[in-house]
Amino acid sequence: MSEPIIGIDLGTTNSVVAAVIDGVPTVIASRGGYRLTPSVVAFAKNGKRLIGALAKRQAVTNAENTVFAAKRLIGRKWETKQVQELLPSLPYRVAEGPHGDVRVHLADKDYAIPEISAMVLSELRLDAEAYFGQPVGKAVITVPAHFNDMQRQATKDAGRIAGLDVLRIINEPTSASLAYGFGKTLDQKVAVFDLGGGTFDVSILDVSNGVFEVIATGGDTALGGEDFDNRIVEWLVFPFAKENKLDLRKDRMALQRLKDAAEKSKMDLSTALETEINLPFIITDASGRALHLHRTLTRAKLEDLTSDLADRCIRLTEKTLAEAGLRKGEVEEVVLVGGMTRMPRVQDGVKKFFGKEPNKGVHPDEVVALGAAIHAASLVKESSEMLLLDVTPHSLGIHIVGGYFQTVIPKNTTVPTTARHLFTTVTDNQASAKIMVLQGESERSEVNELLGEFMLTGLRQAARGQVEIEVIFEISADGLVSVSARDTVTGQRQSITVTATSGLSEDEVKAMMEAQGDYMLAAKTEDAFETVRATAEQAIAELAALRGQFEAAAAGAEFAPDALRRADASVDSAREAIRQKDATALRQVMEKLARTKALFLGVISKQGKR
Amino acid sequence: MAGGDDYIEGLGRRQERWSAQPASSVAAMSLTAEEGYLVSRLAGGLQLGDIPAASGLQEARCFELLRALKSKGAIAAEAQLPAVRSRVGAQGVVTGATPGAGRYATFMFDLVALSEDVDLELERKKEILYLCAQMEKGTYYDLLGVSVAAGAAEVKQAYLERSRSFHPDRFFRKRLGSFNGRVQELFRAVNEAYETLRDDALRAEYDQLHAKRFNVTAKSALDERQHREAEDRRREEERFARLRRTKGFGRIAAVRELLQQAAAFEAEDEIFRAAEVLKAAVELDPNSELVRARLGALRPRLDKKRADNEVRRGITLASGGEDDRALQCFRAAVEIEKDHVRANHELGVRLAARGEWRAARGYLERSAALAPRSGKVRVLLGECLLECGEKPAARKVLTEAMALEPDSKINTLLRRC
Repeated sequence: MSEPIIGIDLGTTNSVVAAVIDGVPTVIASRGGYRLTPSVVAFAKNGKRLIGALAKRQAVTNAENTVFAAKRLIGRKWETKQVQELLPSLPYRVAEGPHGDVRVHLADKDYAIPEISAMVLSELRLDAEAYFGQPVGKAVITVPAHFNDMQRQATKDAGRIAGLDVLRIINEPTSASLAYGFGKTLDQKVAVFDLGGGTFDVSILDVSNGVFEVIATGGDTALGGEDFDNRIVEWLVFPFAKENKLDLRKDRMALQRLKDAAEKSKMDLSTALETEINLPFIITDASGRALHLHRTLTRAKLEDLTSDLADRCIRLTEKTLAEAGLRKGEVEEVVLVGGMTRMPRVQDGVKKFFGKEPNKGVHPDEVVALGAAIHAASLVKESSEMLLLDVTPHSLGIHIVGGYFQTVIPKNTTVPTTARHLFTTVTDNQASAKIMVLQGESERSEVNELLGEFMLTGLRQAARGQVEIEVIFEISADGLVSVSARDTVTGQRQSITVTATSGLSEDEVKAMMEAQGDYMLAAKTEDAFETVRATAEQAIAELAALRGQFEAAAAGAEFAPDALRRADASVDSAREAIRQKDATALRQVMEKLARTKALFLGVISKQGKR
Repeated sequence: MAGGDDYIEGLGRRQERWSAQPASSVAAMSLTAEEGYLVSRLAGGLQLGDIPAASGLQEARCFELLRALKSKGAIAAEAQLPAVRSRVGAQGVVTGATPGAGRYATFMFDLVALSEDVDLELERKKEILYLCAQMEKGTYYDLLGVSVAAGAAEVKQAYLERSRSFHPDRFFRKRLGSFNGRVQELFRAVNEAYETLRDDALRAEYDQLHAKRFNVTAKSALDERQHREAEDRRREEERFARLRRTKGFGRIAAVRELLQQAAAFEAEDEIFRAAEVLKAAVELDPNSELVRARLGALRPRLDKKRADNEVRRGITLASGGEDDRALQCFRAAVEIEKDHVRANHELGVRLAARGEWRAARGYLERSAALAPRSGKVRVLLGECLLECGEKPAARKVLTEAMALEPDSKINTLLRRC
């Protein structure tokens, strides 16, 4: 088999890795046997790095050093509203980074968010390598359709830090539609409704004979399962605060337990009508008395607490449908993606809106990763029947005089694409022009997301309006933006990588790649050593047990003292190798130990026969 | 090497590449479903020996079909590379007319580009170079390879076919040299062409602007399409006119026009005007369920808007110090829409501030019911109930408020209960 290529759904709460194996898209289970890997990274008290299920399990006792939902922070600037609003609910410590980005403080070191995501990706990569029994280096990674350029770039960086060659970044709902349409001959309009752990996406596609054409996409990168959980947490916390004058959220461990309980009860209520939330010894009050939390949550109450969230999803769906220029009746199939779509209230909302039963044929947690695997396979295949025509989710443009935003590439334009736009100088003899590149839908610049800015200097001396500057925008198939500008007469050209203001610099990514590579190597050596050490210690213990019998059996024999001396020497050198953590030396000593053991057993059994 | 496994009767050697004729010429032939499928597989060209596997057909059956297709002229063996090289002319230009590939007619290819060492087959290079020239000189129709007369479905099919060939995914990590820029530009242009031709208004505008660039066949095709479209429109109008003349249907036609007008107003958020038009429609045809339903559907929006307007006026008046008139506005809003959140709230708070507790009570109660998560309203309502002398009710409301937003004022009030 040629080199395996994987598709990764890097989710807010859970991640999944998949590959097309013998023509069948398949989810690859982790080495622990799970199909979903929690997107959780932790540094245990002993300094060990834990990822996935192991990290999630110890979260309650080690809340400060356990990072959840890093995806909500990836590619975001520190001062943005989304980050600032998120801060109080984070059990781990975050700070502003050198580029205005967000850094997580773990075990005395600051980590960039892409580094945290890279740890999850590395884990998935190791799972894939264990499955295939060979190195895996290439991957397609998915992101929410609504992710902007910075968030996409940061995700791609995360892949690179994890040592992956990221073939393509694709949108989650689109990816889901690929898996939905895989192996079928379809000719229909499909709506993908993707409500995940942290983000909501909705895409309208026209699937026709293997071509998956996205017509419109919309959503909200800050609307997902976590928001539903937070509503439950608030519902638990306020009455408790009233009764006991204690805010449970101030205690990191209590907050973590509340979050776990909220998530669990939310899941339970997808099937049950009511559930018990029981958190004994949640906190001790000022007098040292242990307090307990016990409440019953009904499905009706949960729906009441979160009805505005569910309604927001429907409103965004309506808006996107209008942008696609379609009526509800023209959508022939509705595909539900993401764990949150298991909630009956969400399903009912979708059903009521479209007036039809949503498709239940795809697995909401796995379908995105499967689609990514399908896309990865089709990219490297010589002649593929399948083609994806995706669109850009945000309008791209520049800041112009008066604080206005001039659109250059409107949203829902098929990517990859390029656009040229001419701008003229506004003052006489203007020597330089500052180009600010923005993404968003508002006509006011300041409301939109600033991707980057650059100066075009040394313009010709001329009256205002006489110098024309041509700005060329490119959006790649990954949805990544690059911009260049030039004076149309002199041809002077300047280009920028628009991620410079908030993402990581190339050098930083390289340093992080190395650090991650070193760590993985060290972890592998450590693992290898641990295995040898376990067998060596067992052998030493066995020899110690046999030594007495051997002495008795070989008493008086000429070779006995010499054999005993050599046995002791081997044991000593084995202990020394263990102390030095030298796996190679230890393996060599192991042979000696095995021979000694054979000798001991041989003599003992001969003595027994006599 | 002729004969044996390498040679297939009636077709040729297994290594030879075969491809389908352009879709436009194949479309005119009469093919069976199976043959049509096979032709679609051959669109990009395949080695003869690989066709059975690629199509999933049994080998014998596959070759039988291929022979039939060959005799119909739907497919042809592609020219081998050396054969083309030998046709190089003195100026370093090759003419595109190679056997089995008549589609490029007398197009002159750039030899330097054709001989560039990249991961593309000769036919592919030709296709790209040809289309790039169409992009510069030809029309959107040439670029998509459709007739000016083509309908919407045909344009879409052509676009999908072009995207299949020229989306950058098709050249993923291939060595493309100078073709890289060409392919990118081509895909962008194909999209641009489709964006224009899929939209009736844009297409008409484009046709008008570029009419002088159309050649004779294109012009006649355009005439044909315009004629067809005009004919469609005329028929529709005629049908409608006939309907209108029929006894009793004149009214229906008028109602239909009014409905369209109303929809247009609605789309512009001109709710009041939409309602006026619909009311006129009801008078014309009091039995029409459709009109009634539309009017009914409009009513909540209408009320909301009227109530909103009243509230807005009220707030302006209040900020100008005209408290009494402001209150009138808020009352009017509540009368129109009983559950108007803002109006209830404003009335409750303002009346309470004046000490008119009894009057404020109803509004505050509704306000609290409408904002189930607001503690502040409950505090005020609690105070109001206290003033009205309803201690048990006040206590209940204040306890609720405490659960929502703990506040020291609540304790003071609770002590009074």
